[in-house]
Amino acid sequence: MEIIAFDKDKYAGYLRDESGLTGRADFIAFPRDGAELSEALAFAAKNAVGATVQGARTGLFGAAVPRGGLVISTEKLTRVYGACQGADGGYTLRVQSGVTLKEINDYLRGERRLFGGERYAFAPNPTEANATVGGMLVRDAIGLNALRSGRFSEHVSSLTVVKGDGSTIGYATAKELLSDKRAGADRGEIFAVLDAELRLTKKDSVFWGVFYFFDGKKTAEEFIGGLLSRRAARGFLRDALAALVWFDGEVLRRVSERRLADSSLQGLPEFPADARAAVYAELSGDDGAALESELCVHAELFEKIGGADTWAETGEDEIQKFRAVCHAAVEVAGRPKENDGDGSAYGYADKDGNIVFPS
Amino acid sequence: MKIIVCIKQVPPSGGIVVDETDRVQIRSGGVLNPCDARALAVAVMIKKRLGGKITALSMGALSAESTLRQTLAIGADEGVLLSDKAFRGADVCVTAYTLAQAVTKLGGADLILCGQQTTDGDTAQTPFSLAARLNIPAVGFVKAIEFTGETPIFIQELSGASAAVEARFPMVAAIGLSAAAPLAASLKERLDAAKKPLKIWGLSDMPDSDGSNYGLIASPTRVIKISRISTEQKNPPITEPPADTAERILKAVRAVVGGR
Ligand SMILES: Cc1cc2nc3c(=O)[nH]c(=O)nc-3n(C[C@H](O)[C@H](O)[C@H](O)COP(=O)(O)OP(=O)(O)OC[C@H]3O[C@@H](n4cnc5c(N)ncnc54)[C@H](O)[C@@H]3O)c2cc1C
Repeated sequence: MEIIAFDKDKYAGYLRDESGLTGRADFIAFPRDGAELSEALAFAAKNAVGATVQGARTGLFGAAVPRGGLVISTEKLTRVYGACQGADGGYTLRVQSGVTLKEINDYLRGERRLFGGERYAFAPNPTEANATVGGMLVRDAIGLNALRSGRFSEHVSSLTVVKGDGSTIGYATAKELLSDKRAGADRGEIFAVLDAELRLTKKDSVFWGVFYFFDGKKTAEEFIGGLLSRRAARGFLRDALAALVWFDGEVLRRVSERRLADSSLQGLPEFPADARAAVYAELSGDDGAALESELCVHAELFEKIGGADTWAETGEDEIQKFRAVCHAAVEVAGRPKENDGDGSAYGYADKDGNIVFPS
Repeated sequence: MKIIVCIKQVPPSGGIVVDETDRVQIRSGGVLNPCDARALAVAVMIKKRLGGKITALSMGALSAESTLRQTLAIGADEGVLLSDKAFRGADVCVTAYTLAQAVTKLGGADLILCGQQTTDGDTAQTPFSLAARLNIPAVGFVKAIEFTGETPIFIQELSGASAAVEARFPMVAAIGLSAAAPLAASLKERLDAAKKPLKIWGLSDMPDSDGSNYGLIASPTRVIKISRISTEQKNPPITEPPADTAERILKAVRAVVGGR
């Protein structure tokens, strides 16, 4: 594998990520397998130049921005090895670390891709379809469906990592890696994820997405509180409610401004003019009637609180336009430090019902 | 006012899958075609003003029922899905014939609204072909609707100009993306849509029930080959901050003309 002298004009894009920060670099490498990844890391160690591993550079905090030395791009580590069934009967999918969320979803949605006659999905959905497995794993990405699915690391059943000296270690879980001293992750030492085994989840057949609009933040919070307390009280709801996403009026306004420029938002009407906050709730499962009766209860709660408008859609394909609003919100909300007041312009409810920000 | 809105379920963006044996699209779920969402919004607007009934009409796989339910939530009063193996593989000509058969069975309409084009077939010919089959006039490329009293005026996009076409019923209008903002159903409307009437008609329900007049066998269009066009990008997109671009341009200019 060639270690290429960094040409600033040719590789300008590799100096930045979605944080908007720009760095500098002396070399760049595009490994295709474990041996080449080791070679790249060993080169950096031998020549005492720093190294920065890059996924798709969609991170919001500049972690993929190089500060000199070698850029190791995982864009050629794109092999999907295929799925297998574990001893517990569950299915996993082994992929190289440069594989993107979109590629995983496309693979699993393939026409005849059935596991034991059933459809399976990869649950985490941090909405940025170009993010790579390596990037999502290292950032421990949190998806809009964090309420049900938690963080990315909870869906990784094993992984292989190349250390800064070029040697390789296997881990049973992503959490083990993120706190492990051997890879140096806890000391901020360089390491690169080579591949990972992703745990798949049986796919639901019925999907609902509902936007609830409010005239103020307080009523939106009251509504979220109401939904979360129902979730705590009942077994069915715990599973049915997959996502709760919170938006303030400013984020709605900024998303609305993007509508003309972003084709994924063009299937939507304007947000209601008096909306000062919104909550997006997603429910899914296999029992359509049970989901509908739960939604009737949500509608009653919404009315009682004095909520204004709703938008509702059913079907996995149709709710993509609602998910596109969540995706756009991350882009326009700014980094958490820029968020207004108490720093809660936009966020996802996690498994414990706390509102957290994508990072 | 009797309004029929022709709608189609199309694959989500980038999701077209083709059967390699007969080069016909495999349909399994999808979304409401974007122009059809505008046609439905126009229908709702006209009904609000003039009263009447909206029928959403679609030809497609059984999976299109969910899209028809969506139109019922947004404002259609009833839905009709034309679904039969015999209809599979219809080209634009035969699609228009099948829709025209259904319109006849529905007892005709004052106004038939279609989306100008779909995101999968993209021929933009179905509305006109349907009007020809029904022997009624059509106005295409509608970019806005106005009213003179109770008469709808369709503002039609022409190359570099616009035409205002007064509605004369019965007629077909092909609605473009800018004609109206799409509508969203409220949660209550979406839940209540399950109670609205939705009929599924097959070949035997058609006034002409001769199978040889439908689907792939009746279609004059022959698809010889389908290929993906890949375009190679010679220059990478500019993603750097504008100040860096300005500096590079300045450097390039200096390299040619010299200067400080
Ligand atoms: C519009 C938008 C919406 C977003 N929404 C969300 C969201 O909802 N939730 C969320 O969590 N994030 C979100 N993000 C942020 C981003 O997608 C995630 O941070 C993602 O996890 C980063 O993946 P990446 O491949 O782009 O990694 P990069 O940005 O390239 O890198 C991120 C970090 O991972 C490291 N890294 C990458 N690959 C490897 C590897 N193979 N081995 C070792 N280290 C590696 C890099 O060194 C860096 O530290 C969003 C971003 C955008 C632009």
